[in-house]
Amino acid sequence: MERIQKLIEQGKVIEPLVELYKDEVRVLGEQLRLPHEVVWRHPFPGPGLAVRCLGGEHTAPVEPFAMALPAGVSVALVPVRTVGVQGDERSYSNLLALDGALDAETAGALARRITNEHRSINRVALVVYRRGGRGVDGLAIHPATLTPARVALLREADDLVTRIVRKHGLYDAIWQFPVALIPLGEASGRETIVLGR
Amino acid sequence: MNSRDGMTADFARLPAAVVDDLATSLAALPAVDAVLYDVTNKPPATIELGVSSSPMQSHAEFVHLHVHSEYSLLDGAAQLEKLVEEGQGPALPGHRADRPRQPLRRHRLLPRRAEGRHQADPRLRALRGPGRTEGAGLAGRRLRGRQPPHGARARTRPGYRNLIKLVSKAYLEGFYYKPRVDKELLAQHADGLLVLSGCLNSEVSRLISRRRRDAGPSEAAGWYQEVFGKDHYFMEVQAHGLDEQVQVTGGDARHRPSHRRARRRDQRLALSRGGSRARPRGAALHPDRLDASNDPNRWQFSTEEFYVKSAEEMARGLRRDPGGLPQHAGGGRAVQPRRSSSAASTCRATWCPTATRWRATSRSCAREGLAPPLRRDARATRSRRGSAHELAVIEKMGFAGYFLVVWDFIRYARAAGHRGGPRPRLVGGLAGGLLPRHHQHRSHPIRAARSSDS
Repeated sequence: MERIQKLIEQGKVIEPLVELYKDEVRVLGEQLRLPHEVVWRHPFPGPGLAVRCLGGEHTAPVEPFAMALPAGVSVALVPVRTVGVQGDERSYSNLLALDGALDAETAGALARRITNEHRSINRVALVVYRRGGRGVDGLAIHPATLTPARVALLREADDLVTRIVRKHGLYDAIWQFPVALIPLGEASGRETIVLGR
Repeated sequence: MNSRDGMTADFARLPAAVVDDLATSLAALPAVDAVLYDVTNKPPATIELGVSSSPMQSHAEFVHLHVHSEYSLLDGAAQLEKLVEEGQGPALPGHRADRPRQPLRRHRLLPRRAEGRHQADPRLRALRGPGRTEGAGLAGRRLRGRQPPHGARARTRPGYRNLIKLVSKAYLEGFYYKPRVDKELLAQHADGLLVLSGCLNSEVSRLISRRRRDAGPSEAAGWYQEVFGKDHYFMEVQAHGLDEQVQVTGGDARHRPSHRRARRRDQRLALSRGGSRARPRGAALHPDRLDASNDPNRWQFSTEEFYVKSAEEMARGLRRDPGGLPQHAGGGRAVQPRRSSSAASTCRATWCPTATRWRATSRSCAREGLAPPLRRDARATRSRRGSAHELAVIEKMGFAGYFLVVWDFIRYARAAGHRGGPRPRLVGGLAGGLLPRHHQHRSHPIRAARSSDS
């Protein structure tokens, strides 16, 4: 960092795009006739998506969460704290897993209701796959750190998602579709993939 | 996630087949026990309101410097009358007791008529802070929003004149999608102004949020310090409880980049909080004022903090900061703009100082527009009844003035031969009725007002 700082001071770092917004960079890319996939690549964070790889300190099982729900829908509190803001301060509220046969639209409306009504929830995610098909029961957050193996898994998942979204011709219609990894599973070393956001 | 402008972000609604495909493929990864699909929307997050104060010293010197009224085209729902009634905090030194405490900020394009109203109402005249200055960027080439939207306030009478000049030039010379001011112009009219570093979209905030460790933000802030004077440039600390604000300015006191920066550079801080509603309650109803549709996915605020807080509330929010906030934002003597003859001429006397007169005027305009036809057939009756209902809604919601503004725009546009104005809508509306007979269109005034905003 210091070396770069020094180079900047010496005027040796040239950043021709630094003043441009993403859409302007894309206009420029189109004008330079760069390949479409390159120009319209979704933004993604470095290094190597590692910021989307969550860790865990203790073992903590998912908890029941009492609230009125439509028939056929169940919820469970996932004890990861996702970043949000409540009142004056940055808060880390919980993720709520939503289980039931819901389409994206209905799930989204329900998520809005839940986050509006319950300040302890700032993120709602629909369970779209569960090994053995057992909802979210029996899952727990396990201790995990940032390891090459976990980041590799996340990158593989991200690549899969990108391919599938491209295959369905939706890539350009979506602005960004982040894939995250949380150490939520039946045992230590087991993982959950979170799609979107 | 989908976003048109990076400010609002809806989660991507994928077709069920795609979700299934994703789930199946990811399930093939041996370590994966579950796949979740985040269905939370991220509401927009760029609304800012300002305040500068010295809560650690005394509430007596507190004044809101940045409040959005219902005339703010941004999102304000704080009605002028209510703001005056509530009158949070005592006035600035030099401020007359019968004057309001909040300078009302015009965000982007406050219609001139509405401003006329600010001028006309003696209670609202003082401390009006119209400064929105935006950069035109490099000489000869206008860049979108490259330079900061700043909050500028007049400290002195020449400062007020400078502020007015900046605003005028922003419209006359710097208009590119919205009125802008570049740094050169800003420097020419810097005397007597008090400047806040601005919201998340401002130059300095943006540099900070890029988390670059270089001198960028400090240099940018340094320029303003130099031009406006150290004591008259404030780093704006915003805390409405938005993620981005936490990153740039707020959250954990020890990690407030703008605080640290300010301390390091001996900059002054201004605290910026709440304020597009006059009162804390009614948070849930605020979006209704902005979008009356039944769309379940319509825009929501991500925080309930956008109300005009009292001095005590502001102070409470700051106690968590162990360093305390540096001195009072100072420089803040109320400036009483003298009404010169030219100022008076911009404000037609007929344009109603109070809500009552707004209502009366819109009623008489409506009558004027609707009176001629003496037809008594069912359609005419229905139309008259519909118009009366619409007028009642407009009045009740406090939009009589706004409606007149729109009406005036349309009337002018039509008179000047432009084919603009409201699109024909299903409702044979009041705006239609108000238009000159030969220009009548079926239109919906509320929608018309909204479409002219965008």
